[in-house]
Parts: sequence; C-alpha cells; structure tokens
Amino acid sequence: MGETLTLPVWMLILPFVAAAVAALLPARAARLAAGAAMLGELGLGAAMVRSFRDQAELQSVATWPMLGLFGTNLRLGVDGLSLFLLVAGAALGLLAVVVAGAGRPASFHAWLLLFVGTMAGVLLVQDLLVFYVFWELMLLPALVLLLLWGDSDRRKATVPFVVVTLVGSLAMLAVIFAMGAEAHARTGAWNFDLDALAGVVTTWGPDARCWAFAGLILAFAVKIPLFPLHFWLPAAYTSAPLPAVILLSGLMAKLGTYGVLRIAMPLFPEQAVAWSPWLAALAVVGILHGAVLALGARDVRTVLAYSSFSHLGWIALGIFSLTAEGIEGALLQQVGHALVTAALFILAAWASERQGSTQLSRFGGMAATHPWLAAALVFSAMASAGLPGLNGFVGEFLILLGAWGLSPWAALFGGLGVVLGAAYLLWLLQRMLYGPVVEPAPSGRDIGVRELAVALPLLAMMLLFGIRPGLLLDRMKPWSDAYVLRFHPAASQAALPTGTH
Amino acid sequence: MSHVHLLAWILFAPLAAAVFNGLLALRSARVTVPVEGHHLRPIDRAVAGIGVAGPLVATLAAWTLAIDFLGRDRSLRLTELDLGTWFTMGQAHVSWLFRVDALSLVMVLIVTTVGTLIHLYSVGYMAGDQGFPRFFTWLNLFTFAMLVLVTARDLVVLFLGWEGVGVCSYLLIGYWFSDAAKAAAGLKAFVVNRIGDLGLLLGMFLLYWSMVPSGQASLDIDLLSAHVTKLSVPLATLAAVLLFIGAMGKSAQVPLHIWLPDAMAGPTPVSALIHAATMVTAGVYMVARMHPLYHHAPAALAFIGSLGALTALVAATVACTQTNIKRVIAWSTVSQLGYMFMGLGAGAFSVGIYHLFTHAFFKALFFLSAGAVIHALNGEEEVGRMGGLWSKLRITGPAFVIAAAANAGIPPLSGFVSKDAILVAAWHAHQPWWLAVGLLTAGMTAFYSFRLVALVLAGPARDKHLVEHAHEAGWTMTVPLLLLACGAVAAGALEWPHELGGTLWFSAWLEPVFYPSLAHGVHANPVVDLILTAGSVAVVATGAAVGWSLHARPGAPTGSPWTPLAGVWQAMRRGWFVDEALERALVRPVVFSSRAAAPFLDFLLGWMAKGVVGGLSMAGRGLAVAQSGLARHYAMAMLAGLVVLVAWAVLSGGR
Repeated sequence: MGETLTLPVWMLILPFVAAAVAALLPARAARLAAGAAMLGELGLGAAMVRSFRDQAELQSVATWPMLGLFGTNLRLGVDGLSLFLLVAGAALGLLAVVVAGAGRPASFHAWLLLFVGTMAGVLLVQDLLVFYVFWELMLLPALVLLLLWGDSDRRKATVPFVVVTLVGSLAMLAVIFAMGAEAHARTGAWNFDLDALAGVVTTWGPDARCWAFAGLILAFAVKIPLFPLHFWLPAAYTSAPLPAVILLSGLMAKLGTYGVLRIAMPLFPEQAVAWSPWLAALAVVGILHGAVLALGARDVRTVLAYSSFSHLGWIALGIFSLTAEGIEGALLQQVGHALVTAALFILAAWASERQGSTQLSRFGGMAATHPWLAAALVFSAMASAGLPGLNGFVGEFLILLGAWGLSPWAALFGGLGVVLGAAYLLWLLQRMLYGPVVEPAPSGRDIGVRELAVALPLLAMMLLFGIRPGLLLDRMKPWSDAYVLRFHPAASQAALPTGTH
Repeated sequence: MSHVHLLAWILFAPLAAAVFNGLLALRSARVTVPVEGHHLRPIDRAVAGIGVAGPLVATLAAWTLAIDFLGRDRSLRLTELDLGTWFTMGQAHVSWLFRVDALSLVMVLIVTTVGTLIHLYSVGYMAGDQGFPRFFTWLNLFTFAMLVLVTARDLVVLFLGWEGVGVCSYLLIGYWFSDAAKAAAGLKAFVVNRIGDLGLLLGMFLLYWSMVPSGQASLDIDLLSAHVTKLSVPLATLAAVLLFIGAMGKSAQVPLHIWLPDAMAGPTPVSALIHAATMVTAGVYMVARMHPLYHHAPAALAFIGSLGALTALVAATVACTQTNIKRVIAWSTVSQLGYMFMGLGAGAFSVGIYHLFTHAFFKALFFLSAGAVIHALNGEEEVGRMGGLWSKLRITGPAFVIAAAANAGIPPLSGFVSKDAILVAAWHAHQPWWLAVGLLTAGMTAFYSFRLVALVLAGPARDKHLVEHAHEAGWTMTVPLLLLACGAVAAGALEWPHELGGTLWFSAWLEPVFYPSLAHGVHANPVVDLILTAGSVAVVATGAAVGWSLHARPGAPTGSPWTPLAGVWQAMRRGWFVDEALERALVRPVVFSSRAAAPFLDFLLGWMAKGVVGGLSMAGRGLAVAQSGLARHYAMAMLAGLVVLVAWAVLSGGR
C-alpha cells in the first residue's frame, strides 16, 4: 500500500497549517511565522532534492487509502516534472513573504501561504478530482490577494481573469467527470487516479477523445496563457500586489504547462501528436505577440507582464514540439523563468518605488544615481534575454532545437523571439537606466544590504544554473526521456537510440 | 608548464581580472570622489594593475605555447582543456572543451597580444574617467569571452563566447550611458547582432538534426567536420549560409553592417580592440573554423565571396566621404572585413585569416593613433577642425601614417602583402569580378587613407586654438603605438609572396588545419601573380596620390572634392541610405504593430471575451449587476460548489 507520510505530504500540509496559524497571529508575528513556514517548506524541498533518484518514476509516493473523493485511494508523489517546481514554489513563497514588507496584515500572509499550499497540492496529487479541487482552490487566494490588496485597476483586472478561468475550469471538470464515470461504468467504482484513467480513456472513440483533449487544453491554456487566451494577463499582473505577482507569474503560469504535460498529453497521446503543430503555432504566435506588445508597452510592469506571456510561449513551444530536446528545455525553462521573472518584478518594483512611478516616460538615468540596482537589472534582463552563461539560455536553446525537430519554421519564427526579446529588454533598460537623469530625480538610496540579501541569491542562481544546468536537468532528464517515448513509439528507435553517449 | 595549464592561464587570467575589477567597480560605483584632470585615483591604480596584468599573463602563456608548438611536429600542435559537461540535449551533450590548434593559436595570439597593448593604452586614455573600474571590468570580460570564442571545440560553447563578446560590446559602446544616443548605439549593435545570431542558431539546429539519424548527434566541431562531408550539397549549402548569417552580423557584412559605424560611440580603445582587431573578425574565424562545411558547399562560398566583395566596395565608398575621424576608420574596417570574406570565398582560408592577422595590427594602430589625436584635441573627432598636427605629435603622427599606409596597401607594409594575396586568390578562384572590385576598392582605400592623413596631419591648422594646445600623450599610450607600428610593418614578412622572393610561413603554419590543397602558395604561373601585384600597386599609388594631393593643400574641403559629384557624395556620406531603408522596412512595421496593431488585436480579443461574459450574464441576471459583483459571486459559488462536491463524494461512500 505504501507509506502515508512522506516528504511531499509534509510539503503539502505545512503551508495550510502555517496559514491557519498566521491568520490568528498579530501582523508582525504572522509575517515571521509565514517566513519561518516558507523556510521550512524550502528545507523540505531541499531534503526532497537530496533524496531524489534520477529516475523517471514517481517517488516518495504516499498512498492514502479511501481518502480520495468517492473513497478512492489518493496518491501523492514527486517526479522529474514536479520536483523543482515544488522547490521553486517554496522559494517564491519565501520571497513573496520577504518582499511583502512589514505593513501587511496577518491575513495577507495567510492568503500567501494558502496560495503556495494550493499550488503544492496541484503539483503533488495524482488523483484528477483532487487535482481539480486544488486547481480551483488556488484561484481563491489569487483573487483575494488581487481584490483586497491590488491597486486601483484591480476590478478591471478581475473580471476577465475570472471569466476565462471559469470557462476553462468548467470544461476540465466536465472532462474529469466523464472519465470518472467511464471508470465507474467499467469497474463499478469511481476512480480518478491518473494512471488508472489513462487505461480507461483508450476505449473512447476518436471524437470523444478529441473533445476531452480540447477541454483539458482549454483549461490549461488559460493559465499559461496560450494565445489568444492571454487578454486577462496584463491587467492582472500589473494591478496585483508584488508578492502575488511573484507567485502568479513565477509559478501559477507554469501550472498551466504542468497540466498539459501531466494530464492532457499523457491521457490523449494521439490527440497530442495530431494537435501539436497547431498548438505549437499558437505558442509561436504568443511568443511574438507578447514580445511585440512588450516592446510597445509604456509601463514597466506591463513590459514585464507581456515578457512573461512571451516566455511562457517558449515553454509551450518546447512541450508541443514533442521532442526530447524541446521538453527538456521546457522543463528547465519552467524553473528558470520562475527565477528570472521574480527577480525582474522585484527589481522593477524597487526602481519604481524610488522613481515614484511605474510609467517609463518618468524614468531616466538611474544607472548614474542607483548603480547597484542598475547592475542587478541589467544582469537579470540579460538572463531573461537568454544570454549564454546565465540560466535563460540553455532552456531556450533546447526549446528552439526541439522546435526545429517539429518544423524548421517553428524554430525560425519562434527564434524571432530571440531578436525581439533582446529588443524589448534592452529598450526597457535604455528608458529606465540610461540617458540624462530625469527631473524629478529618483529619490532614496541605492539598494542596500537588506535588498541585496533578497537579490543576490537570485542573481547567483541565474549564474549557477547557466553554467551548471545539469544541477536541474540531470534530475529532469530521465523523466522527459521516458515521457517523450509515449508520443513516438515507432520513431523513437531511430531518433533516440539508447546508450550513445 | 604543460600545454593544458598554459591554456587554462590564457583563459582564466583575464576572467580573474574581470572578477576582481568587477568587485572594485561595484565598490567604487557609489563613491563619487571627484577626479581631477587625467589622474588616476588610488582605486584606479589597482584596477589598472589588475586589468593589464590579466591579459598580460594570458599573452605570456600564449607565446610560451606558440614557441613550444613551433618546436614540435605539425601533428602535435594541439592541446585541449576539458572542464566537463555543460548540458545534455536529447542523447547528445555539450562539453566545456577548449582546444588550441594552429588556427586557434593565431587568434589567441592576436587577442592577447593586441588586447594587452590596448589595455595598457586604455590606462592613459581613460585616466580621469569616473567609470574607470567599470571600463576595465568590461574590457577584461570581453577578452575572456573572445578567448572562449576562439578556443571552443563545441559550437554551443563558441556561441557562448560569441554572445559574451556581444554583450561586452553593448556595454562598452554605451559606456558613457548618460548620453542616450550612445546607449542607443549599444542597443542597436546588440539587436542587429541578434538577427545574425538567429541565423547561426538555425544553422546549428540544422546540423544537429542532420546528425540525429546517424545516432551521433553533436555540435562538437570535430565531429561536425567529419559529418558534413556526408551531407547532401543543398543541405550543406543551407547550413553554411545560415551560419554565415551569424558571421554577417558579427563581422558587419551588408546589410547587417549598420551597427558598426554607430558603435564608434564607445571609447576609442573599445573601437580598436572590439570593433577592429578582434570581435568583428569572429565571423571570419567561425567560417574558417567550419571550413570542411564550406568546402563542401561551393555555392555558399561563392555567396560569401560575392557579399564580401560588395561589402568591401560599398564601405570603401562611404569611408571616402566621412568627416568624423573614427567613422572613416570604422567604414574602413567594414570594407577590410569584406576583403577577408572575399579571401575565404575564394577557398583560400589561410589568406583570409592572414588578412585578419595583419588587419588586427594596422587597424588597431589606426584606431589608437586616431584616439591619441582625439585625446590631444580634448575629444574633438571632426576632421574639419584638425590639420597641422604633424609637428605637434611626433610619435602619434608617424604611427598614424604607418597605419594609413598599411591600410592602403603600400608596399612593403603588412596590409600590402595580405591584400595582394587576396586579390591573387580571387584570380585563381576564377572570380574576375571579385578581382576587379578588389582592385577598385584598393584604390579607394588608398584614397580615403591618405585623405585622412592629409586632413588630420598636413597643412595649417583649421582650428588654431584647438591645435595650439595639442599635446603628445603619456607613455602608456605611446608605447602601444610604437609596438603596434612595428607589427603593422613587419607582419608582412610572414607571408612575403613567392614571386617577390618570400616564403609563405603563415600559410604553412595553418596547413595542418586547412587542407594543404587549399593553402594559397602553389601557383602555376608566377608571372600572372607578378602582373596582378604590379597592377594593384599602381592602383594603390594612384589612389594615395589623389587622396593626398586633393586634401593636403591649405583650405582643402572636407566635403566632395569635385562639384559634379556632390549628389553621389551625399548618398555615400549617408551610407547609401541602407540605415534608412532598413528602418522603414523593418523597424517601423515592428514599432507600428507594437504601438497599434498588436494592442488593437488584444482590444478585439478582450471585446469578444466581454461578449461571452455578456452572453453568460444575460442568461442569468442583468449585465451590470453580474459584472460588478461577478468576482465575489464566483468565489462564493466556487467555494459552495466545492463544499457540495466534497460532501457528495464523502456521503456517497465511493458508490
């Protein structure tokens, strides 16, 4: 039957318990408790990485008999796909609590912890119905953080966000229930376990599988977001408070691509193969559309929001290339982008604080007045632009390499994102940092020890993972190598001969 | 010391210097101690010491290696440093593998030797600048990245160096970032280079996937070299052209040359090191490094040579008309890079590399002596305010003349030897048009070189006040000038033509790398070569004489020397409007879509989404009520739904 209390279980429970505790404490204590909990979560994550074996299978599996909804067995576990996303979630949670500052009430921290906890749930459970519960629950802290602590545009941001998510989620729920019902019809028992369902749906006709795949993709595409479902993103990312944006852009977006990888494609591999060129095309359109919008944006947060959209397009492109190279790149980029986007949003927020505006027309010459902040921004922007040696490069390289395997045109047009990405990031730096110092001059000191304690670990990791991506990739590779074979049962022998190192 | 250790010193001494100086730069960035005149603050002295020592150590190691190589058999002139795996891709992997062979060593010697001299020069040139430590950080880092580029054994590692030098170039062009135009020039350089880089990436992808069926996919240059001969010719040609697009960006070939003249916004030592001697030649090196591929794709070679010839000619015409001293030399660099590609296109890889080698000396000298002139005139760069400097600058003046003469191809200077070799190679490759264009360009090169000498040094001063206060620079600047001048004069001896009684030592050195059959040297007919040489000398002499005589007299115009030419002169002055054309064809559409088309598309999408919301809400309650409270209602409904779901599930007990 397996164990019931493994590391992943503790990782799932800790944020919820901590949230309950934090909600009852006074604000200062709540912040400390939240920070301590996230530090503990990160420690659990580190322990999990240490004990992780470089294999394709689900590990640290905990099985809870009868605890799944409808009395099914609930499995939790971690594999090469989810391992570093979980760790990234803990790290981003810690970061969010730290940058939230002392002024936030206890409930703010509690909601942040809930956000982290629900996302950990999404990543850990192997039961589709429970997955759906966490998936929906995840929206609650996101909405509360946005509505209660967002800036003046928050209402405008909320409506489209909720609507598209609602539509997507309903589609997913329908598909999940249909699959569960199929299992019920065949075995007489409800079952939503992912592995069990993979066998169940093979008996469906092509039409049914097509619709089911479409429903799942719709739900996940909203979260990624995949073009043309991205219209909710800029308003949400720019009006949510910084700690929420870190979690939204850093992790929640990747749960969309995670869902595609974990659920939609393995359940319906034939549909995945058939649809992948079209989905890859949408990803490419998203890369370019996001980059072009980032180029034209006039607000620093909007630039970063569109940049995030564009970068998620890369990840989606890698996945839909259905090549070993592309999927490895996507896995790496999921983690790499979490790091870079968090750093950029934080640094941009510090810069805006000092400039007293997020409007780029109000910026100028910060490199002269705030050289350390400027250096950190240039460094992070270069990582985002995929400079080799920093952590954005290897992922993007593998993704484009994989895209060529799907179609050279995908690599060509996706690759234009390399050019546009450099353009909008450097154009952002140009307006913020260079030129004569504007009037009124940015106020406040350059970033000091406290801010460096936040920024330096992020920058150091960008360099570390740029030079030694194997620290991440070696854990992911067995999973992705085994995974990609599901989509190329015949071609795999020719394309991926084993043991040719 | 073993070869591997020497290679490690070559690579990591500049990196260590960059790291140290980077820390000092961060430390000093927020301290604004006013600098008085051209003096070094204590921290600047430390930076200068470390900053010059790093590349100097690399230079000494490189020469030790070179001398050791000379004493060995040709086949043993190779050393590799293996630092493990960078990352895996599919079944292949990319290794931190650095290799020095005869070709890489030539590049390493150029980068370290010329680089060290330019670092030393910078100590004097940049003295008194607030950002002195930052400058040396980028310069050291550049040296490291360039050394990675020329020693990488894997194309992906080469690409790391390739992008690394690009980012250092970006930072150094925009070094004086408080001037928005200078920072923008850096941006332009980086983005234009990225267009080329995309070509390079796609070329790599093509090669990788072409190897996948064999089960040996890799981007290791040695494995690729063995593999490419098995490719079909059209595929090899496509790969060769894609890689060359990368070279077009980095090495400023038409139409991706537009960033290089603007890159002159950077300090002059940067122009000398990055935008003349080393980085811009990376494309030439890369093509030569991938010579088995290009040898297998004659159509690609023909394209490279033709584009090189076109670039050489176009850039030379523009160089004739510029009035900014650095821009003349920048356009000249574009033109000379065209010559190098013409040599490669003729299949004479060692000749192309040889021109790269001599050019590194005389063009670095050209820029540094121009920099000394600018330094003497307190930053003045317009030739219209120069003149009459010969008697003032007793070291810089002659250095400037030697550089211009070598650039023009006056015998027996190094530029003459290498350019002549290219013209001969073009003839032997049965490319009469390249030869014709090369000869014409040689005449123009001589014209603008001596036009510049005349305008800067000869005659009476155009701006008496400015020139009166001109002064020769200190030893840190003049010593590099003297040493580079020796190089610009003597480098020709390494490949002195057969027909003039010389020996082709340089080609012989590179023979183990390139096919012996491709090395230029065994020519059937020395008489033809002699005629070609005589012809080119005559053209050069004419160009030089015209350039000098038109501009050396008092009151000589800096604009068009002949009135009927004025219209064409304007077109040349503006670079034949390539910049404007690309702006209209590429930049404006992108800007338009970023400001209007793409946001409008998103507006439409949002509007349609609202329609969906409207439709859903109409089914329920009134639109306004639903919209205002939708989020809260949804949150409530969701919670309630979950509660019901869970309750149902638990109560149903699995049935």
